[in-house]
Amino acid sequence: MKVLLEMREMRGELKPVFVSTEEILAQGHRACQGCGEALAARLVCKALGKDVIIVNATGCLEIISSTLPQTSWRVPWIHTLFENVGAVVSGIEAAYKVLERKGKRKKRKITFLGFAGDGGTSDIGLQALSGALERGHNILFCCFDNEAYMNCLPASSLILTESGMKRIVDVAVGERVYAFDFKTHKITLKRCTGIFSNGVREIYELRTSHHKINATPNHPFLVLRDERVRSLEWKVLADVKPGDKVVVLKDILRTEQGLLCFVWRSFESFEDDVNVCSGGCEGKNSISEHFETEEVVEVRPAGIAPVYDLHVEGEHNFIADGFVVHNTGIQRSSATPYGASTTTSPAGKRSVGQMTWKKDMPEIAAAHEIPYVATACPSFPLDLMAKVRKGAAAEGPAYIHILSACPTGWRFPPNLTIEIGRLAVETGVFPLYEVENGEYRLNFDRPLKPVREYLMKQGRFKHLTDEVIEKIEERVREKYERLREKAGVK
Amino acid sequence: MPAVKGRVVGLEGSHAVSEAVRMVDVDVIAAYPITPQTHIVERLAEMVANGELDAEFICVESEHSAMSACIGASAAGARAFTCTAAQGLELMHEVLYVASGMRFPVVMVVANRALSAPLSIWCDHSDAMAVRDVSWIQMFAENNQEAFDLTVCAFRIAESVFFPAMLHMDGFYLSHVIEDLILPDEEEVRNFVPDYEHPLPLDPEKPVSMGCFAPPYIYPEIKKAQEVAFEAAKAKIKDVWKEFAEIFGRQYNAVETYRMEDASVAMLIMGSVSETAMLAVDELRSEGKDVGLLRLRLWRPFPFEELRDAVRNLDLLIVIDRSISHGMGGPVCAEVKSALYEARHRPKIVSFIAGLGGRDITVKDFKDMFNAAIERSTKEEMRRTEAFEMWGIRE
Repeated sequence: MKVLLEMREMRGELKPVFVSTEEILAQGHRACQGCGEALAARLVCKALGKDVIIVNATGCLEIISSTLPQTSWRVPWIHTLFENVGAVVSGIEAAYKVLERKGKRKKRKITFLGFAGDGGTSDIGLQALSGALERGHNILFCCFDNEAYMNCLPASSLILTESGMKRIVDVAVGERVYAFDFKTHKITLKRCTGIFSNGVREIYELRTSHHKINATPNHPFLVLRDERVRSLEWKVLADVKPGDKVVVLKDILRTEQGLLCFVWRSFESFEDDVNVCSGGCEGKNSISEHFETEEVVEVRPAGIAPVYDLHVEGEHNFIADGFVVHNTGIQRSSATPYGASTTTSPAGKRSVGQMTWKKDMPEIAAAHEIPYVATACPSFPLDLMAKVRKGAAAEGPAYIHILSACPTGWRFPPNLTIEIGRLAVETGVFPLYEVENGEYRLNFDRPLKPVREYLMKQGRFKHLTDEVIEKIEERVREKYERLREKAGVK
Repeated sequence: MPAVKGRVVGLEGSHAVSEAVRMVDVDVIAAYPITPQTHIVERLAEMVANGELDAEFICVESEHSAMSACIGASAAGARAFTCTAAQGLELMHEVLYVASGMRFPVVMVVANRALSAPLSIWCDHSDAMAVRDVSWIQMFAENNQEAFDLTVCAFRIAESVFFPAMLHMDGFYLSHVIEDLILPDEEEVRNFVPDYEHPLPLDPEKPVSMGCFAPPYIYPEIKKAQEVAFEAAKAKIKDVWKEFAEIFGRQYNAVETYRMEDASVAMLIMGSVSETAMLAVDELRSEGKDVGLLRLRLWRPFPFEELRDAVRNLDLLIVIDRSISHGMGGPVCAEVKSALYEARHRPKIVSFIAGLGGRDITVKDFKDMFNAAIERSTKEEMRRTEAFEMWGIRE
């Protein structure tokens, strides 16, 4: 099915633009809120439909979409390693060519898609990509550039709020968060009455058969006290032992939110709360239609970390994540822009952050003299999808470099993803252009906004001085002018 | 066993492999040049260029990409082949684990060569020993006939058990030497290796996700499943060899024996040099010594039972390694020792490292090693320097 997206002026006429409602990258994956990469991948897939085979590099997109036993892909998809997408996709394309020629497979137009992040494209994956482009395989390679090696999930705990999962530091006082209702044993919405930073503390990791969470030893968890009558009690983490059964959210929310959650208790009085589960529970471990218990496997020290707590009206409890995926941090890549602070290019007294200019990957791809190279950004979805279709239609290799804003790594609120991407284009930091058989074309050419508007919205650039911003501005304008010259714009 | 069928031709070892790959009608070849493997792919490129073989030949930019492209081709349902040596094998190391972990029956021939540094293009088994744990089926060939036969068998085995298979053949000693060998009828080879069919290839008509991410709650179960399947492959390998013998008249075994009947001393060896060792055994036999020879044909999965059976009546076993694990000794010897640990009867074992970096091992060397080991083993307990020696080093 297709829906009308907008009316667009084409050659003096207003024409409708349609887009498919079918989702190839299924909802329910584990991407952070506001993930530009997940959005971009969704649009790429939407543009091409189902006759594709995707080769995905190790990285955010692979992690968030393919955790066993689930998959978010409704088309054939393969992941093998970090740096070899160019080679694997070459092998698949060659296999189809020969199998069709030998009559072992019927002829069909399939787009062989390579997906990789900026690391899997311009750092470790550059050699295999260059080989694939040089050999002329009929492939489309999409680089989802979030300008560093990123977290696959935020480092801090995720809280289940009325408006979805939020990092604990992003929950606002007055906002409604989900809680465990002691009368009904069901899920309920309660107002957050306070957020407290408890400083840097010693923390412990609690692990159940499927999930784990970090907390301070004095943090209370809801634990099954008596198996037969199913009474519940609060136990501080220091008292929780392997074999104890802690209360967690059921699958119903795991599928909706992509996460399974523990019930946490805020620090207000909790000694008096001992509860007996009302009837109507199904299944051995069931507490109610929303909650069940899961056995603790291990509680062990997990170092020190900054800790936070929420106070919640009425129920004094809230629901925090049980699924803290191992982080990769936010480490610089060759695609990280000058001045960005990352965990391996931190800004400090003697450093501005990243000390080198961003590697110009689209130009490197274009230097292979392939039929089609383009830049795109999900903030301009129709432009992105049109380019993807063009790239797929090209006879030979095509390369599309997609700027994918990352709230976690770039440190901005997740509701600004589209705006940040738009500003990247409007300030000239990330110009939208195409190189079709060597011909350059600028797709969005208006007087540039000051780069400050783009930079100052992001935590990774917050430390920049006026002087550095000016230096960046100068460089951006100079590169932009060169691009205009190539595109023949005066 | 039926009479041996086919025609006798003189072929370089490399070209014997190319001929086997052509006969099984491979679909995709992805390779990067490296001595002493290059003759294999050069000949294959020629076959594709002349239309003798209908395959896609991908000239990749590295061995890492060679194996990656083979994985892609195999996932799409094609029969894929590559070959390499030494540094090339090391460069594709991480990809080897992916091929086996994802159960793609890629076939690879390794023309064994020493590892840098210092740079050496000549034969030893350092490259093979560095990939012992990659969960590939691994076999060793001793001459060009075996290089041909075992390449054919490798496709059949790999595609029956869905594990990749690696055939080791000594660089130069086999890859660059012309020998007589019997080339069987092409049609019989094609019948022996039927078309490859992946049960669920990458195909838009039936979407599958391959290579998903495995958290701790599932990773160990997947590895256990892999181990069970890999061990079970041993029986299938033997079946394939048996069937091969029935059709082509040459029988292969996990552990090959030579003049082992009534032997009390034996030498264990792998690869082409075993044929030189046979001459030494013959000479020692004519001198009245009851010596024999064992050759490990199947290296992975390791033939524990067969090895135990073969050494049952031995007082002394001499293991020759063509590589060294510094600070530990000969890797083959270490594995043989560990395989025999639970055996009721264990021979004394003397370990020699010989033939590193292409140094020839002569008949005289073998005889001297036999005699030295026999003399040392008369002691109740050998010192480390007696039980382990790098042979023939100028000091």
